[in-house]
Amino acid sequence: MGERADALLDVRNVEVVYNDVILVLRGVSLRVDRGEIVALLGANGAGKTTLLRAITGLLEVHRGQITKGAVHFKGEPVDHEDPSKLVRAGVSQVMEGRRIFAELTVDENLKAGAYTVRDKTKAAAGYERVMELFPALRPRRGDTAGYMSGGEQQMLAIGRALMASPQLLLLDEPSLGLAPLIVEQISEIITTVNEQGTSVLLVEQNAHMALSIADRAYVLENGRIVKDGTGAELLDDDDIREFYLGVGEAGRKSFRDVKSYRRRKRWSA
Amino acid sequence: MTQFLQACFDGLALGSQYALIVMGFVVIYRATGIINFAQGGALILGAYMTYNVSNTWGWNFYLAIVVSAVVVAIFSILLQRAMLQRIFRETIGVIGGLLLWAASVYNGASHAVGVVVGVVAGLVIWQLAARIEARVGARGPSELPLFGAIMVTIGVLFVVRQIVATIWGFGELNVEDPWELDTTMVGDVILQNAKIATIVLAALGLGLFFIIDRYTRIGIAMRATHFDHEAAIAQGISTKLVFATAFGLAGVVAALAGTSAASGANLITPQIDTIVFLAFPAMILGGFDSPGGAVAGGMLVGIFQNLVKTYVAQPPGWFPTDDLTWLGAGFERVAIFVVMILVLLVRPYGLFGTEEVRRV
Ligand SMILES: Nc1ncnc2c1ncn2[C@@H]1O[C@H](COP(=O)(O)OP(=O)(O)O)[C@@H](O)[C@H]1O
Ligand SMILES: [Mg+2]
Repeated sequence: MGERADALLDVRNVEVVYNDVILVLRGVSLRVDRGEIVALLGANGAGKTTLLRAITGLLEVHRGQITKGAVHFKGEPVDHEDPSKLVRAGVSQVMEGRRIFAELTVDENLKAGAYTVRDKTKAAAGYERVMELFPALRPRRGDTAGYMSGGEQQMLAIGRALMASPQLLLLDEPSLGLAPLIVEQISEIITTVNEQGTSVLLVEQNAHMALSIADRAYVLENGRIVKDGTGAELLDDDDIREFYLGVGEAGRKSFRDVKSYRRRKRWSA
Repeated sequence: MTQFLQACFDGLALGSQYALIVMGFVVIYRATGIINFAQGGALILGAYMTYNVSNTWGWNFYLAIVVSAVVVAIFSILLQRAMLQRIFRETIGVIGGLLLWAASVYNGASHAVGVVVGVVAGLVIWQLAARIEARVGARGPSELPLFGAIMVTIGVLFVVRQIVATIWGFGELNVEDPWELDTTMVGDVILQNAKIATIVLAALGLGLFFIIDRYTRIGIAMRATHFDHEAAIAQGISTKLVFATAFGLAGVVAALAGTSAASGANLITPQIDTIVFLAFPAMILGGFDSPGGAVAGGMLVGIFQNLVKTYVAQPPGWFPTDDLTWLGAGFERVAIFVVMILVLLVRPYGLFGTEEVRRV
C-alpha cells in the first residue's frame, strides 16, 4: 500500500500483545485519508477494538502493548502517546458499548467530552453543533443519562465524542443492539458529520450499514487484514455477501456453512 | 425541650466534624477505591499546623486555618504521588527513614544523630524495597492488591503521628483560637462559640467541595472517572489531575476537621485522630462513595450520639428507670456502632451509597 501525502491516520504493520503473551494483532496496516469514511469489518474477537485501543493509547489500561509497527496521525508517531494528547491532537472515539457516564446528566456527559477544549467559545460552538445534530438531546439536557433509551445513549456517546471537534472520529460498533430505524439514523449522522469535515473510521459487524456509507473498507480476521477495497467493491464481493451480508446464492448461510467457510480460510494470504 | 435542643445543637457541631472527616475518606475512595487511613495523619497535621501558625508564629487565626489547609492539601497530594505513581521503594524508604529519625529523637538522641540515623535507615530500606519489588514485580501500591495499598496508608498514619510528636511533643497544647470557652445563649440553650465556628467552617468547606464537584470541569472529570475510568481517559481526562484534586480536597477538609477538633475547649495531642475512628459509623451509614451521604451520615450520627449521651445521663420521665449509669461512661460511642451494625443488616451499602455502579 503506497504512502499518500494526505493520510490522516496511518497504521503500519502493528502487532499487539496482551499480558506479554496473547498475540491479538499480527501486523495490521490501515489508512484513513482526510475526508474519508473508512469501515473496518470483522467478526467478534477479530481484534477490531484492540486496533482502536492501539490507535488511542488505551492499551495500557488493558495491559496490552504495541510490540511492532507504528501508528501515525497527521504524520506524527502517536503509538506511545498519552490518550489525552491524542484527543487534543484531534482523535475522538465512541467506545464499544457506548460507555456514557450513566450517573451524570446529558449536559455533564457533553462537558466531559469537551474536557480538552479550554476555549469557552469553541466549547459553546461544539455544544451547539451537537444539539443541532441531535435535536432529541436538547429537551433532555438535565436528565440523568442512564435513564435514556439505547438509541439516545448512542447519540449522546457520539455527541460527547464530537464535543472535542475531532478531525478523526473512531466509532466502535455504534449499531450494536439498536433497532434498524435507529441504525439508519446513526448512519445518516455519520455521513453528515463526515460532510462537515470529520474523517471517520467506522468499526462494525453490521457490514451492510458500514459498507453503504464507507468510501473504503477493510476486513479484519484473526488479527490480520484479509481484504480491502472501496465500499462498493466489497458490497459486491461474493465472500462478503456470503459471510457478512448473508446473501449467498442459497440465501442465508447456516452457521455450519460459516464454520466450514472459516476452516477454508480463503481470505488468508 | 431545652435538653433536647441542646443535644441537637451539640450533635450538629459534632456531626459537622464527622462530615468533614468522612468527606475526606469519600472523595479519595471515590477516586481510587482505597480507604485512605492517612487521612488521620492529615487531620493531625492540620491541627498542629494551625497551632504552629497561630500560636508559635503569632499570625491571625483565620489566616492560620488557610495556611494549614494549603499545607495539608500539598501534603496529601505529595503522598498520593508517592503512593499511586509507582514509586513504591521511594515511599517505603522515606517512611522508614522518617520513622527511625522520629524514634531515635524520641529515645533521647539529638536531632543531628536522628537525621543521620533516618537517612541511613531510609537508604537501606529503599534498597531492600527495591529488591523485593524486583522479585514480586510490583511497581507501587496501585499495582499491589488493594489491601497492600491500605496497609501503606496505615503506615503513613503512624509515621505522621511520630513526626508530629517529635516536632511538637506528646503534651497537650492549647490552640489560641478566637472562641476559647465563650458561649452564646439562645433561650436556655448554650451555644459554645467554638461549636458555632465548627458548623460554619464545615458549611464553608463542604459547600466549596460541592460547588467544585457539581459545577467545575475538574468536578465533572472526578465523577466521570469514578463512574468509568477508561471512558474518562478516552475523553482526554487526566486521571493524574483527578487523583491530585481528590487528595488535595481531602487534605483541605482534613485540615478543617483537625482545626475544629483542636479549637474551643479541646486540647491537641498526637492522638487527636482518634475522632477519625468515631467517624467511621457515619461513613459506613452514609455509603462510602456518596458525598451527600457523608454529610447526612455525619449529621445523623452526631445528633444521635449526643441524644444518647444526654438521655443516658438523665433519662426522660416516662422511662421505666431513672438510672442508666450502668451502661457505662461513653456509652453513646458504643451506641453509634450498634446502630451502624443494625442499619448495615438492612442496607448493606449504607443509607445513601450506590449499590453497584450502574452500567446501563
Ligand atoms: N484485555 C485483554 N486481555 C487479553 N486478551 C484480550 C483483552 N482484550 C481483548 N482480548 C482478546 O483479543 C481478541 C480480540 O478482541 P477485541 O479486540 O475485543 O475483538 P473485537 O473488537 O473484534 O471483537 C479476543 O480474542 C479477546 O479475547
Ligand atoms: Mg470489539
